[in-house]
Amino acid sequence: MTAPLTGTRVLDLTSAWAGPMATRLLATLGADVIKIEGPGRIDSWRGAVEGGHPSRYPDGEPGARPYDRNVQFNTQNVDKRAISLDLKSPEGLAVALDLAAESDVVIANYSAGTLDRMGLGWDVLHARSPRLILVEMPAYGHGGPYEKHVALGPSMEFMSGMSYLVGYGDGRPVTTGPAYLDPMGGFNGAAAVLTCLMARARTGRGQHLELAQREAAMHWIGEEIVRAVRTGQDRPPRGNRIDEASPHDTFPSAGERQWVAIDVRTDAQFRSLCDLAGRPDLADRYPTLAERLRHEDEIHAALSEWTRTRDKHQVAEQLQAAGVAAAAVHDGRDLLGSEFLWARGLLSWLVHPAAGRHVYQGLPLHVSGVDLGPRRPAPTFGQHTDEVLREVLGMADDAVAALRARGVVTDAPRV
Amino acid sequence: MAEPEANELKPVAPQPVEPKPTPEDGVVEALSGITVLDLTDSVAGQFCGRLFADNGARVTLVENVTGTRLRATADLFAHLNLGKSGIAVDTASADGLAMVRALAERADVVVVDSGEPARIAETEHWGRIRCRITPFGTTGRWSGWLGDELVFQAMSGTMNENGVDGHEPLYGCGHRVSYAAGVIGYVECLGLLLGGASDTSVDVCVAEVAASMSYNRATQFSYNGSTEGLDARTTPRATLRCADGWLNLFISADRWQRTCEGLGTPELVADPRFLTQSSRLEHWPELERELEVRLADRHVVDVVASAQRYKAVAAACVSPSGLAEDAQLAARDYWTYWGDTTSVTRLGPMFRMSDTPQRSHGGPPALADRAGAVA
Repeated sequence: MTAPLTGTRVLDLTSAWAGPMATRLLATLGADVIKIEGPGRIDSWRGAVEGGHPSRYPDGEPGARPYDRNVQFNTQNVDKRAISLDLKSPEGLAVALDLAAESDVVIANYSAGTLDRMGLGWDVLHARSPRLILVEMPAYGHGGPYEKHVALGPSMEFMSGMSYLVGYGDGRPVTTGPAYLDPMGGFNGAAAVLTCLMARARTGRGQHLELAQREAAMHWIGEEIVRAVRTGQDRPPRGNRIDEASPHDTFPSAGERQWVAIDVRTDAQFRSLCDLAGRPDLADRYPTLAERLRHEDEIHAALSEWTRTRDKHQVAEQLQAAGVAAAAVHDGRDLLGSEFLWARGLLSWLVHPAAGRHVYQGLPLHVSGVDLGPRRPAPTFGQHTDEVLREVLGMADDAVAALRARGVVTDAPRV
Repeated sequence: MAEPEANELKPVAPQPVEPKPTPEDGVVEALSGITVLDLTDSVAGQFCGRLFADNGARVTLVENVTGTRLRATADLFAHLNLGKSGIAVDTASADGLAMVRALAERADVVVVDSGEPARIAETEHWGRIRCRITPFGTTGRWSGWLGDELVFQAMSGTMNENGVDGHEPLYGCGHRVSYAAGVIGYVECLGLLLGGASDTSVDVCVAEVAASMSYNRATQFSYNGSTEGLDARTTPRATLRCADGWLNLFISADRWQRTCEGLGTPELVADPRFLTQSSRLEHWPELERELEVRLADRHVVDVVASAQRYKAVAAACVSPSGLAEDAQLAARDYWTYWGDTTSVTRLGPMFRMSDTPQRSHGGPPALADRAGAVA
């Protein structure tokens, strides 16, 4: 069986994480995703043209073409083709419109109204190609007082109700990791595109799809929002502690900034935990959830004495074997060495023409009878420009050369 | 099983089993004609089913006779199961299994998680597509592991950099990874339906989904042996206290000057500590203190409005209850309701399609007091 979206073409105008993750999902499912980057406006996850923080590059070296060696871009754009195209030029816009006419989906994550101003809005695209699906992923959606607000993952998380629910109980909201709403937007974006493709299979028509990223993300804490709106009361966070389970927390383990997470749901599990920790007295003193909730600090301190001198992975394995939910808090080294993730096929070796041979984190897609593993590394800047213009638009070599001579397509970004 | 918490929820009766494929008003739904059997007892599984229901598929939730454990939290059960019909069946009995088997024979998608129904679904090839969503997969020594959001986030790589340096890392809130897994199941099923698949299985592992959402740290470590935790200073985001709330800023290199101008702090633009992005990251705690001093007496809404006029990335922290008053959501007619009163809030659509908009199909299914008849 071939990959499910084989034969589907996506024109990708997205940048950074959410949009590219949505298109990466589609590419993994077999779609031909063609990424457009302007010579003066490259994907922001390629980093600064002249190079950025060393942590983003192989061996900490930006190299001669840092934008082709950035770990962020190279992870999120596996399995795509990329062309350079100056959309601000009339010729570049004309090429983009021609490419859109040969595509099933055009997707962008600009703020509302931007595609219209660029000349790539719904009315223009639909008139030319009634079967085309146009996907926009603004932060807050068309219309309303925030329509033109610029946003990134952390700011959308602030506005979604989520950050309010994350914190240490001191009132200060915490945004999740670097930008958790971005992968959420990626997943939701792919779901939206596929839904529209299903609709087109019924109707034969394309349509205009808007995924307001904040609104889509709100569904992922939907029960909290419904309850809070109904009661007028919010549930401020207490760190990792919750009322439904105790202990439900992280505990320090051996090494610097190393932690193990433990989640006890039953009295029997607490007994098992305490026995392993050599503290059966704790289970005698706090046999019920109610008791454990009243004495969280004492229990945490006591169990930390046990975990503090032990390897987080060993503690987790021991507890899981004893029927207690636990896991080491993983950092990048742990992820790379995770037997579990390698067994699941999430990690793969890929050779990138500019970055070399490294391990890449994939997507959790598994379908019987189809290999959905990565097929090609992320594209270098403009890598497929000539190939795409010839193959998709039938453009002759001299026409491509003319575009290159006028700077409409380039082989490197403009500094 | 605990009784659902007493509240104003008034579940409507189960939806008609034979919805009209073409509504009288002529509006076609994206997944009209698709039939889904939801045999799950998990957030991930039931959210997967909800996504199908939202877009017009006919979704039947199959519960055991005492109901899914998720009914213990009424808001959660309702949110996950709006628009589905339901039956309660003892699948351990021959009659109950026969009932479910009859439904499965007509299903396009069968969503399962763990236990005997999942095994039987695979063995007997129920549905065109079988979507199995489990916490740790079905093979290997982790398949018997226990875990929920805390454990998934710990294993994901995201938790390691979530929180404030000097404190323990935070798992976040709620069941976000499970919701993610539900979306992944939905994505894979739709992909297969589009591709014309039949007798195909989808395998979704929640812990793996969690790791796929982390910030490329595995590859970063492969690239150069570096990893980032709570002490990292590579992301230019700030959380600042204003007079009446909290402000989030994201100050990328190209937005430094406009952010200072938008905040009314132009004097910081040329401050030697903050001249370049790398120097700003190096002095980030100082930058946060300088900004917070200047913003301490200002209303957060005003700060955001001013910053946004200069296209600075700024946002105020909104509580879940505060979303009810959010001006943007109100302007977009976001909130809807279900039930025979208007008292039960329903979140607006996850996405908006111009020609096949999502429609409400009523509330969650009531728990039948006996095994329901086969549809």
